[in-house]
Amino acid sequence: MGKNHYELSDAQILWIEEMAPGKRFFGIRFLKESDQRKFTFVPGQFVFLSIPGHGEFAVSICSSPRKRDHFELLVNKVGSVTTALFGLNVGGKVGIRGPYGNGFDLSKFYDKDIIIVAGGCGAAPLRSVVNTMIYERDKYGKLYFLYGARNSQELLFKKDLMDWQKNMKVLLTVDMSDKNWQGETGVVTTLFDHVKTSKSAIAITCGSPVMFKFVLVELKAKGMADKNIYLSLERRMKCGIGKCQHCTCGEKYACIDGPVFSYNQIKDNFEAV
Amino acid sequence: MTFILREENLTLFFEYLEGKYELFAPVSETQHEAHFEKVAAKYVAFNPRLSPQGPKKFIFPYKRELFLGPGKKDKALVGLHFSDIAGIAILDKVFKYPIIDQEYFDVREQFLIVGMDHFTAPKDGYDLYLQVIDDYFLVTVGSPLGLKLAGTPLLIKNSKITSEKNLFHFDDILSHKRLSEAVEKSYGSKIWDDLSQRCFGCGICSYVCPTCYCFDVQDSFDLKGNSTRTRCWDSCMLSAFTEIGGGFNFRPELKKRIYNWYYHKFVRMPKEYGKLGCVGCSRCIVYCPARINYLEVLEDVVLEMEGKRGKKPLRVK
Ligand code: SF4
Ligand code: SF4
Ligand code: FES
Repeated sequence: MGKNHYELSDAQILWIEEMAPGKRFFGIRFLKESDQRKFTFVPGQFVFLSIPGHGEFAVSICSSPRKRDHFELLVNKVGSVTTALFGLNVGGKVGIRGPYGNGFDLSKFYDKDIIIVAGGCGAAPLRSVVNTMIYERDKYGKLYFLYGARNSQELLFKKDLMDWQKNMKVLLTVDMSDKNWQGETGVVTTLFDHVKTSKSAIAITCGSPVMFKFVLVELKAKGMADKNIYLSLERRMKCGIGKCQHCTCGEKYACIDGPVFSYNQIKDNFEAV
Repeated sequence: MTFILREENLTLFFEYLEGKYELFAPVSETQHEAHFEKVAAKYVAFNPRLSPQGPKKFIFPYKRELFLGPGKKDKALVGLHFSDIAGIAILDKVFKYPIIDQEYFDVREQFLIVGMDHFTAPKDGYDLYLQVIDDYFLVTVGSPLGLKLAGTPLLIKNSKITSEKNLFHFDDILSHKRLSEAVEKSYGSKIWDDLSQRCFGCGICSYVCPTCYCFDVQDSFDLKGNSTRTRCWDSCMLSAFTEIGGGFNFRPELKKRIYNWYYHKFVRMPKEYGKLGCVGCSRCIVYCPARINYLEVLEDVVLEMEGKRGKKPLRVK
């Protein structure tokens, strides 16, 4: 008999942090110590979080795999299951299955300059990438984190952004500025002017489908090769194992072939970006 | 290995199976249709009528609670047509590769599969297959269990070399060499726009198709507050199929969903499994409320890609 991939492991909410309106940051740990010990992943992978009776949803892991005693998720309250999750308190029980997806192979990026471009909630999976890179900072060249949000309230992981500045260049922008905001205004691509990298630099991006379109234009304008541009795609997901068909993009499955793709893998794909 | 079953022993043979399994076979309700139902051995015979929902509803139920685990192999689907079996073979492959979906096999393995049709036995997807020939049946064994069951005196070892070849014939367009390529290239063609003007996006073509398997997973509470998780059929023709939390939809227009239906069967599945996702059963033609014939659509697609649209037909109708 094969493994039943839909089976859940019990886990518990360790802490909850209000990140932005309708967005919460959760620390999660498996109830069984052996489950926690077995749980290994790479940045860019995702899990299904389940609340029995309400359903389950796919969500990227936003902590570094180096953190072994728990893991972290950023959840956007957008549907009935996430609403049910927001009704739970610290100590609340959830079901977890995963990790799923390919994630990033960071060893391919060693010794290179790296531009990370995040839009809105796209910062969540990229936080796992950045936190991991910072652990092994000397393995990479220049690091940039470019991040655009709707407004200053919507900027996620503010504490991390401050921390990261010690190790990399963090550039922020908001679509709509307000009295609390002294930084740049405009879409994330306006930040590209401040980026100076070598020809062999790597770009990693995650955000809305609309954002991908103009980020790609800018990266191509910078002369970046398709194979050096990585995108993490979001799709509706119901199984995580390449069966249910909800996550397909042409010939690819976001759940098993992705969610991380290099642009040369998907540039001819009619529905990836 | 093949055996001979004499026509007059057919009922005896199914009574023999009935001793071990509950039998489900296509029963006619109307002149044109049959439905798979529990039957007594004496009613099992070759039924040429099409069943709107073939055996898929048993091995991949339209709704089933998850985590029930495996069950006993105590049921037999009998009298399946060649294309029904081809459909099962495809589902078996899909749920096995590249990752095993155990929930599917927990149900699938509860069923013995016994085919019955005029065509030469298919390659896989069954335990026993009875090819209907004049006054006897040529019985092909398709699994170790099938071989064990063939150990009845009712089946006579077939020593003579029978050349009762009657190969299942696919529609010309389905065996066209460049079908996959043509469908792949046709993205954005006006054919899909035009089709979206006729199609209702109802999803019936998915529900009746023996090879369609997309699904949803849904939770519910009963009155006592116990929760269950069920897997149920879905259809990529329905608009919410690709919608994510927050409302963004990757295939908001019907023409994109229609294209995906064709792309999946005729491009993605050949790439993934080396086989078309269609067994030529014609259910999607018969039950489409908009009278859309996917074979005509495919013919248009191939002709257009070859620059011969409106010039010469590819199919013998
Ligand atoms: S059954 Fe016909 S009308 Fe309904 S979705 Fe399929 S092709 Fe369209
Ligand atoms: S003929 Fe239609 S219903 Fe039958 S297998 Fe092909 S696509 Fe499915
Ligand atoms: S999530 Fe089901 S196929 Fe990818």
